[in-house]
Amino acid sequence: MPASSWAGAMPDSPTVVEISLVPSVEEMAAYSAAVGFGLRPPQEPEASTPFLALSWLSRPAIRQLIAAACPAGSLPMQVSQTIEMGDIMTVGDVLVVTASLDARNDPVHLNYAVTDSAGTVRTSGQIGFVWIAAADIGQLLS
Amino acid sequence: MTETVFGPITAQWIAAYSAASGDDNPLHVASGADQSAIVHGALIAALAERYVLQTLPGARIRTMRFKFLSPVKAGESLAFRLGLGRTLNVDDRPLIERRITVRVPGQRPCVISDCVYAEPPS
Repeated sequence: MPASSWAGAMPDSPTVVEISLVPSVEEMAAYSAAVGFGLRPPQEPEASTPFLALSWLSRPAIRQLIAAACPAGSLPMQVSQTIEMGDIMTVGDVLVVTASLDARNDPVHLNYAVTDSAGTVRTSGQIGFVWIAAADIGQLLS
Repeated sequence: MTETVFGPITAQWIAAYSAASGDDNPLHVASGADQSAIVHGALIAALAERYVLQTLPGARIRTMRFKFLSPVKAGESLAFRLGLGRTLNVDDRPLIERRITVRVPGQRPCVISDCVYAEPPS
């Protein structure tokens, strides 16, 4: 995907996003395959759901916020992450992800929380990142 | 404490994680003659969780904090090592906090993580 798809830099970029989701076995299986553990056997998803999988589910909201706030010609690079976990997720739970971003911080902080239908926060976290010039990627890799 | 090495984290592995996570940041897309790409921080975090659960079977992780000190490139392996623990008392329940140091073998740490967990019931 071209770098331009990350460059929002719109004055009215959203600072808060809320999405609903219902974790599926298929989604957890995709996560487990990508990280190399978890969700085994598939008939017992609760017992083997990785700790970070629930936070991982918040990614669409996180990406939406970061992409919209990203200055033109720059890319986000993560520098920190904090994850707090409550009860283990159950596949099929109805969850709401709320994410907010304040680009005035340096590093930029994005806070998120995943709440269940009873209003209980199942996981929350903060991601810290900086904007780097797309032209500087090669320097990072050298 | 035992050190565990995961990897090498290939460009194909990074691409698979990009596809599964939807994180298609060009930083993580292999480019150039050497197919360079930067490993997702979230993938390293997941490997840290894998390391903790392999090293401390039954541990119930409560909190993980990560500092990403330097980028990890495609093709590199990562060595994970747990430090000594300290006991925390949170809501009268003993929790253990331990530091995880992650480095490309032979190099300085690239990621530091503090993990808080409850030990499995004896």
